[in-house]
Amino acid sequence: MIGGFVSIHPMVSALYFIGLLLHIMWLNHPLYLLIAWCCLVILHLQTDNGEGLRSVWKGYSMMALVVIVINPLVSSRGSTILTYFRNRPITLESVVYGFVFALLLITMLMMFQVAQKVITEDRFLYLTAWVLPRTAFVIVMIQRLIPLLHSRLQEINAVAKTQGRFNAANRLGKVRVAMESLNVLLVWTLEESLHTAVSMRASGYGSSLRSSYVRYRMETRDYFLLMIMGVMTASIVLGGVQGYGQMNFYPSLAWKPVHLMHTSVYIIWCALPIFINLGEIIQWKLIRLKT
Amino acid sequence: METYQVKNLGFTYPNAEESVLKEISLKVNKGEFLLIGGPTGSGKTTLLRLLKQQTQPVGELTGCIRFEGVSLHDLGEKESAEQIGMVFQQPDNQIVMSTVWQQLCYGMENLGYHPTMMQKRMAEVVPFFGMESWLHQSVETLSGGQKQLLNLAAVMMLQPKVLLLDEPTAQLDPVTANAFIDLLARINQEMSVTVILCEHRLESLYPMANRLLLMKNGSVAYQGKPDEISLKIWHDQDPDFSLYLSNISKLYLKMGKNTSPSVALPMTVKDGKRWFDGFYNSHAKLFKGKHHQITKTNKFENNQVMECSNLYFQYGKMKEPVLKRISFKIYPEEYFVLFGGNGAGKSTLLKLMAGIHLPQRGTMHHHQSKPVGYVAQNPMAYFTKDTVGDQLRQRADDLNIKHSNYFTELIHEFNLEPIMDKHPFDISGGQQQQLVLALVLMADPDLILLDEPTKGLDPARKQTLGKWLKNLQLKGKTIFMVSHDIEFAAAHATRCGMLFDGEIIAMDHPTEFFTNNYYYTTMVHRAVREYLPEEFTEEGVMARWNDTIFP
Repeated sequence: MIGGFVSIHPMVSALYFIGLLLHIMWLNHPLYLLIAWCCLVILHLQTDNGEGLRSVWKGYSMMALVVIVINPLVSSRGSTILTYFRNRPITLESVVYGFVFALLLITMLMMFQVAQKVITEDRFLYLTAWVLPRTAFVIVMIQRLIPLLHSRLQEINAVAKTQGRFNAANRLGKVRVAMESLNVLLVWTLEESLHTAVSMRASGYGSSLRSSYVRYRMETRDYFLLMIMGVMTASIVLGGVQGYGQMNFYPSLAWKPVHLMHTSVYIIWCALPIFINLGEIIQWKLIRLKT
Repeated sequence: METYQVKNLGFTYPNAEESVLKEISLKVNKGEFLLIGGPTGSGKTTLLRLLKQQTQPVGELTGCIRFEGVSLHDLGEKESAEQIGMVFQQPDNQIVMSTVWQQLCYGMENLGYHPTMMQKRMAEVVPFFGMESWLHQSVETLSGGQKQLLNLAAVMMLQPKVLLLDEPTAQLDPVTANAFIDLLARINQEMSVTVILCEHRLESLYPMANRLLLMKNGSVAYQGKPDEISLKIWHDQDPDFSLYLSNISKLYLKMGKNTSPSVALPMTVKDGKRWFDGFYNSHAKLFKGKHHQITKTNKFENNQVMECSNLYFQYGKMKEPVLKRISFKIYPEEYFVLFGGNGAGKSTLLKLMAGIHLPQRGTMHHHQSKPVGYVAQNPMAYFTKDTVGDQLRQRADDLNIKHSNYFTELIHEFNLEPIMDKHPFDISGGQQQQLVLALVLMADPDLILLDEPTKGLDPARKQTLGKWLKNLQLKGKTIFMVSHDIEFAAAHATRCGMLFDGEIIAMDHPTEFFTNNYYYTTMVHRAVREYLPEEFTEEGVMARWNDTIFP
């Protein structure tokens, strides 16, 4: 999908994901985690038809399985003993905690994965430039330099090959040739970078305070979204402080009954990108109907 | 008011005995297109770099430079960056950002422009340069020509009054080089930006330049209109600059010395053809000479140096094939030149032949036990040691020929004795190429592969290289080179080929190759093809013309 949630201002989407991450980590009630997980699955399907998930779900499941199995075995905290394994008690609390922790891990990983799809390298750099302009500038220069160095090293190695320098019999000789190649790369790059420095000065680098080209602009809907997100976060935090959406595992399982209002707000928060995407789809349908 | 006013300018590099520039006085008018030529080391790059405070090299400067009436020293750094734009020779060295649009904004960001202004400038410049389709691409995906266009566009973003360009097309192939020059001419014509351009390939630039400045040993040798200078060089028979005349002009001057002087000196194919049409029709009887048929050597028919059959190559499993169905033979003592556009796979084929890459399919057979020599485009990749001498000795050590006569002979042949103690990076580009040739030849290869050896060379260096390669050929070596340089190939090659879309399309002796081609042929052939369809060199045409009848 090109429009929808992917198209909102990077700062808004970054704030959303930060909020979501904090919520996931704080509100560890299985129901809440399940809600977040479901929403993320749908969001994954919306953003790239689930391509990203398809390649990693096996790894995620394996990891979840390991956590679920290991946690009760190594942790004997909790008061309800189910059984004994090699003289160690297996408690109900640590079994449940294993499940919840596995779910938490997977949800977080899935969130990071979708966040990476939404906040592309470009957008990430834009965000960095906001906070750390110099660092962002250096990152861009490095991004430019790495492929350049790579192609130069390939050229050097090609020449070394035709000169028979790689024919060294022993391992030490090979290491020597490799070091030599790196040395050539370094000297060559230093030589070229002198020219780059002159060229940078020629285009006025360092002559005044740098500004930065703004590729993304806040629109009305971005402000609107920020406002909704603010209101929702306030109410979620308010409920959270009172203990809603949380579960205590040790010494024994304890949780507050589900607060309908709090859970609904949480669902809306998690499903916010899905709604935005759906809105986009409906809008297209409407446009087609009207024309 | 003049854009530049240079008075008695002199410049000496630190620790140098001789000054690079001596007593140069120069005026550049607003909106002028000034072309600066001259051999490598004549000081033209230094002169160009002195015209902008921020690019001035370290050294002792005498005389004064005024920019729009103000001394260059008094021009603020910001004004200088805005008003004087500079483009250098190496496209890669000038790009610091990783995507095209970032690089375009780079200069404006440096000067702290407001984002709205940047957007406006982008919206203007990007369509002018036709960069819309690659605006968001990463820089590494661009071709050399695109990179240089990007550098020009990035400079134009600041709306400069002057453009200083230091051999901007030296690293480009002719098609993209022409595109670059055309754009430069448009900028000069439509925006009245003053252009000061240093170049080696002057022929194609003569029609655009208002004024030509030829430099020699740090002083101005000629200054004036291109055609006037051409005539002057011809009359003086100046050995240093006769190479700078266009072949068409040379033909005209050699033949047309008896024609009426009312005809302006032709410098382009168009003018040359118009002149030759008239000349041939009035002097047809005089073209009595016979076409000099180059004898095709068949003595090695059954004795190939290398045989390739059905080569296929691609860079990765999912990548497009670069080479397809490549089959050809190379015979001993040949001088083969392979042409082809950008990305046709020429360099890849060379790398395959040198054994750097392996083909996916097909066979490649090298018939001699001797190695294959490979001269890469960039000499930097060869230099692993701190001095030229060490570099040569290490290679000789590797090959166990340190005490042989061959080693000393090579050093002597390529004039490397005087620079044995210098760092390979401190010697001139021409000397670097000599060193690389010596390093490659040390293994005594029978087949020498060269990747665009004439790139960025001045005419004199090119002639020397031609001579060296010819010598090698006479010594029984086989030469296979990839090039864009049609005039160079026409003067030296014994066989030519063309690569298109990964396949070898034509492969023939130069006569057939150049006379059958419409685009890939010499300027002389394009001018005379209607009347002398067999000729493609100035010498060939001259041989057909029997001028002994004239008193």
